[in-house]
Amino acid sequence: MGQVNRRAVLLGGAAAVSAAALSSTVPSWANARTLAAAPAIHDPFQLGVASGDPLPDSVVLWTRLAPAPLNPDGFGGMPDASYTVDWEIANDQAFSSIVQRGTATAARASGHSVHIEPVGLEPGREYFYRFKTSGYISPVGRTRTAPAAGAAVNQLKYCFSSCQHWEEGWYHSYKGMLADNPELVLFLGDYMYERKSGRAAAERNPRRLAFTEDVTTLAQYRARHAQHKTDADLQNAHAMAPWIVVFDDHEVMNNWNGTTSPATAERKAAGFQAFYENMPIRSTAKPSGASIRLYRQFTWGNLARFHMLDTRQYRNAQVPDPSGDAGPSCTDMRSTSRSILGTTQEAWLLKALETQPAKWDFLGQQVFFATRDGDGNKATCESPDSWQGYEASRDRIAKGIVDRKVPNPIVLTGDVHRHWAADLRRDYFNHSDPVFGSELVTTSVTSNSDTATDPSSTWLSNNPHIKYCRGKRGYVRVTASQTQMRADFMTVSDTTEYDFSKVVLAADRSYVVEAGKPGLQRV
Amino acid sequence: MKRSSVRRLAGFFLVLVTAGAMGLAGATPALAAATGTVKTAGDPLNVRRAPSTSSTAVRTVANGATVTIDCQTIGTSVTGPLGTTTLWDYVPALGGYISDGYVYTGSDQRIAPDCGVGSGSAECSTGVCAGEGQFRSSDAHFLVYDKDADGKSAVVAYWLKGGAGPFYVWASGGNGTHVDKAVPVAKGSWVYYKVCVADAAANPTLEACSGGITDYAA
Repeated sequence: MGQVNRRAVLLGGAAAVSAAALSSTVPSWANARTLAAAPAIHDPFQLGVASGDPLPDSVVLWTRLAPAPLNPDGFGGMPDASYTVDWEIANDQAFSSIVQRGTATAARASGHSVHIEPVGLEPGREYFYRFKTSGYISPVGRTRTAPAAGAAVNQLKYCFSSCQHWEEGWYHSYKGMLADNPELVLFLGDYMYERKSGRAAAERNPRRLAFTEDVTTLAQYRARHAQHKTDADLQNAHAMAPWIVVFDDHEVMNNWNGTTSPATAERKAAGFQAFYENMPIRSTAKPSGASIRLYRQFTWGNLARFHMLDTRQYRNAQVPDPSGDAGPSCTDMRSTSRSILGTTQEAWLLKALETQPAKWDFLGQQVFFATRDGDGNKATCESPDSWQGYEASRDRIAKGIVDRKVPNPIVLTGDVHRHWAADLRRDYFNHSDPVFGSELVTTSVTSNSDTATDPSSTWLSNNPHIKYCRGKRGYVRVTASQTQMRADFMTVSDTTEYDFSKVVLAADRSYVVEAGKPGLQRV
Repeated sequence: MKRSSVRRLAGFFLVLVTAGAMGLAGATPALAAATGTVKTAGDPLNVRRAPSTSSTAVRTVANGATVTIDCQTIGTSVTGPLGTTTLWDYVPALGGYISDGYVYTGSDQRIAPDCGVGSGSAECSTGVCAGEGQFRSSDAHFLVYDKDADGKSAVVAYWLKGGAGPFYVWASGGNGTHVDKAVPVAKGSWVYYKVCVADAAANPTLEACSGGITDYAA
């Protein structure tokens, strides 16, 4: 300390800050909070690198500086200073042929995250990228731009995943994706969890969170994201290909919706900010308080279009699901005044579907689209958190697809911790109603389904549009061409076992949809 | 799937780039240390293993001694000749922490980085410091001390790069015993740890855990 200074001692932190700002005699270290003299740090690339949101001329490059990623203050061990970060894009992995380079500032206010949005890249090709700061070079990432609008594209292979509670398993699915070598990865929500595992078979969890309480503050959300991102398989998968990411509920809290209950505006704002800082998404998705623009479209030449939806932020509150046999109110679930997308996003999606510039329209989103009704009785209802809890909203989309003659709509879904495959109809209680599309539901990367039981034969006979259900961990691999779309439902035999040589990762079931001929066909 | 292809692809991305315009990263930086002068009423000053007055006094340092402070952290409040403060100074040469209330540094502010700079650190479990845990950066060892006859073990829970943890280092020999265990932290890599008390078990219920700190193997 200095000589006794009663006032500074009594006033504590606030006085200390102003004293540091005003005094001309503060020590060199405390005063060195400028870009040029930012304090030395350890290797800050502990969260890896990522890319995302590919356009024909641009792709987002991401990293976040965090030499001490698990620090509970959320700052990842970064001093209170801004850091200059250099970035490079190259034609080759050795960076002998640099395409673009530049400099960005990683600031404390954005958790020392870096989002680079280069322009002028060539369409439909591979690039390599890396970052440098404070004498450290990041791992190398590989990425890809989207093909030009309307360009003839013969094939696209992409994978999609969801639901990766850090405690509940190893991310072996991403080893599978690495071997699949897709051009694109979609993530459909629950990238991180705001709460610790509550699973029945807790003894099967191979790891435990460092901070065990529910995260509610920006600092806590940052630290929780960082712990998920320490996973080596996840980092490798991000470094492999561009990702297109949307959140579901657990990036904020379980089953939040468009109202301020259960998640307050403050909590949403904290969750959104940490999500933005930790994802390779565009500055158009930079949150403003409790608002974030996450829904967006991507086109892959004349082959595929992705409508990435946000079914959380604008939805009406879920219809209550009372315990016992009564179930949620069907009248409320079918109310025409309720929406899961909100009026603006519904109109945005229906407008886009008026034209079909690409063969396949993929709706990348969070929760189950098709109805699952165990007793087959239209007078009783279930699953109020899914699209069937917003049935009129769902039918406005379904009718819009049918009316616009969208030839090849495929809904992509996460959330439910089991693989499912389903055909889509306007009326699920009329088993001869025409099929207008299909839904592919990926299981979780790790999040458990310990207490789930396989659908019974009665259940399946009441839901003939549902073709498949598997309660294992994994992801879905899609290969789309001008003539067909193939979906391989990949499963991991064990996510508790660390040793991948003892794990079987394989396609459990495959389906194709032929272009222009709606409906899943088992391979 | 073919595992060989997994390994090949994984290796592709794990290759460190050693050429190109950016050049290679240098050695671990020297995080700015500072110096101070011990100021007491004349008595020697206790050096504590962890930044708490409940922590073990590992030695003393004389009034007037000059000390090199690698880092600073918040611990228990102490009133010394220079004022009242919760700031503690880590002095690796002394093997522990001294209260900043006894150290003339020319400043009431921080003069060194937050602790966890790669030269070692320690924390106490909360309360009476029934468990002490120290990370020795020089050879990546945890030293865990049981300091209370509470019937429970002292334990360090730690997490590592790559996404694994917690692992545990137990001091289960009873009050007054300690363990010294090497842990697999690569040179320059980080370890995050908390010091707790618990009944030794595969999935222990951790109690009285310290706030947690990240340190680095030297």
